[in-house]
Amino acid sequence: MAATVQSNAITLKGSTEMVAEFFGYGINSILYQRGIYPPENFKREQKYGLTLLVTDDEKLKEYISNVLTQVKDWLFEKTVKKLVIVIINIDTHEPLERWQFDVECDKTMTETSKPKEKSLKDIQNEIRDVIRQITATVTFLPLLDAPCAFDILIYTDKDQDVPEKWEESGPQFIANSQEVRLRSFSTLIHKVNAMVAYKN
Amino acid sequence: METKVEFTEKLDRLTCATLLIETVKYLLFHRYQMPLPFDQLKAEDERDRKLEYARRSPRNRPLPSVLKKKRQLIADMEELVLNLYQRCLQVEIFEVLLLFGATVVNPKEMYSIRFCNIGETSEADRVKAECASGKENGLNSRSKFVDKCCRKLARTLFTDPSLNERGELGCTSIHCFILASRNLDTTWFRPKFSFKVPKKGKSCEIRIYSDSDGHMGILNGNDGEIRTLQGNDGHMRTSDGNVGILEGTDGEQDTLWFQAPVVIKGYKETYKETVESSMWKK
Repeated sequence: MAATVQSNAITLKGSTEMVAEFFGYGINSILYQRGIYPPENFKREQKYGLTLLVTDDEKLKEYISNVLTQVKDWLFEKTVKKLVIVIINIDTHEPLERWQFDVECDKTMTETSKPKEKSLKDIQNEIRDVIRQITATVTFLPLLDAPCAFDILIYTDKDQDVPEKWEESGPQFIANSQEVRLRSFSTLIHKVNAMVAYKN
Repeated sequence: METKVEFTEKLDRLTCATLLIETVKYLLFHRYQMPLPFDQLKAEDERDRKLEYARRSPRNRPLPSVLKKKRQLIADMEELVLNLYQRCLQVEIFEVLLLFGATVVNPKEMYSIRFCNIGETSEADRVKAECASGKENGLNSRSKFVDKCCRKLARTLFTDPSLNERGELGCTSIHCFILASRNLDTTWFRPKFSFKVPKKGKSCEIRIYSDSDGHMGILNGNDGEIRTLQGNDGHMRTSDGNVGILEGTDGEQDTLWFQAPVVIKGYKETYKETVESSMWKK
């Protein structure tokens, strides 16, 4: 296949790569910002004109990578609806924070469709603004003072087969939550709307 | 454009001082003048310094220019924040102006921060503020109440549409002015007799309201109670000029704009992008 993201045009494959990459950096940013893993387990990478922190822990890297590989397939098939990161209190198993990324796909796009016209720079700037907002949320989100773990949920079309290593799960909603909408970004093929809900 | 932050509680001077500082920090990150929120940027730099020390690098090794800019910004911000905090605890500051742009005459953007409906400072508050103003760590140790107020402020600023509809602002200089009593005893802030609030550029008013049983107090917000004087010649004008007389609870008081002697320079991290991320497990 030809180049997937030219400077002013984007294909389904290119859009899939960009959105999956955003999810990777987004998940890492949330885990770092919310202190789910110690800061020394993260190293810096330059992306979207920002310095981002990415885990250096082999097991965590493998876990996230496996999730992203699957998400990529579903993004390409346009069957993914949401990606949710739930932060859970380890002792009580209570969900404390729920980061939700709603995905809207242009179902008419195929591998051979004419690329959509949107510049790489514009998409990256929109993604940068979402990541900056994730970073800024620490100023108002409540302190997580109990040891926490995280879970990733993916919502797909109903008729989607559940892959071997995946299982069906409940939504893990937060009772009496406060919600804050973040910015969104669009590749014109996939649109991602972000929000965070947290325990009041 | 106005952004309102409303508190249902009475805010004391200590809380107002902390909220002011948090607003300044928030605006600088929000308007793209620093790559991380200030406290994170500072913490990251402290970690880097420890690592540099551990590596025992040669003493005179030149720092990359981006690192120099970052450290200059942190140093300037710390100085500004500490002086703003201390002045705010000691005296009444009627308004704070942040001007984003190369010059103060023609800034690109202007943010005016005012506290409204703050009650009179009690003797106990005054003593508490006096004690806190002598401590640099007063900025770092917060009560649960102050922390709750800061989170509410941050959430309101984060979600306010009028603050979010502006596009990216390139790195620029940030000038800070305070409107305070003409008799303000400060050697750090410089009196600016001829300063006029710029009328050009995009402006935004941030008004922080406290519930003090309807008692209009030290900072009379946007109710137009500031009558202005032109320059230092003592002639009263009715237009919204530079120097004012404020009608507070203690009658009329001469006010004057004072400028912070540091100009914060925004910076961007312009490293080469990581070509192959280590995020994907091979």
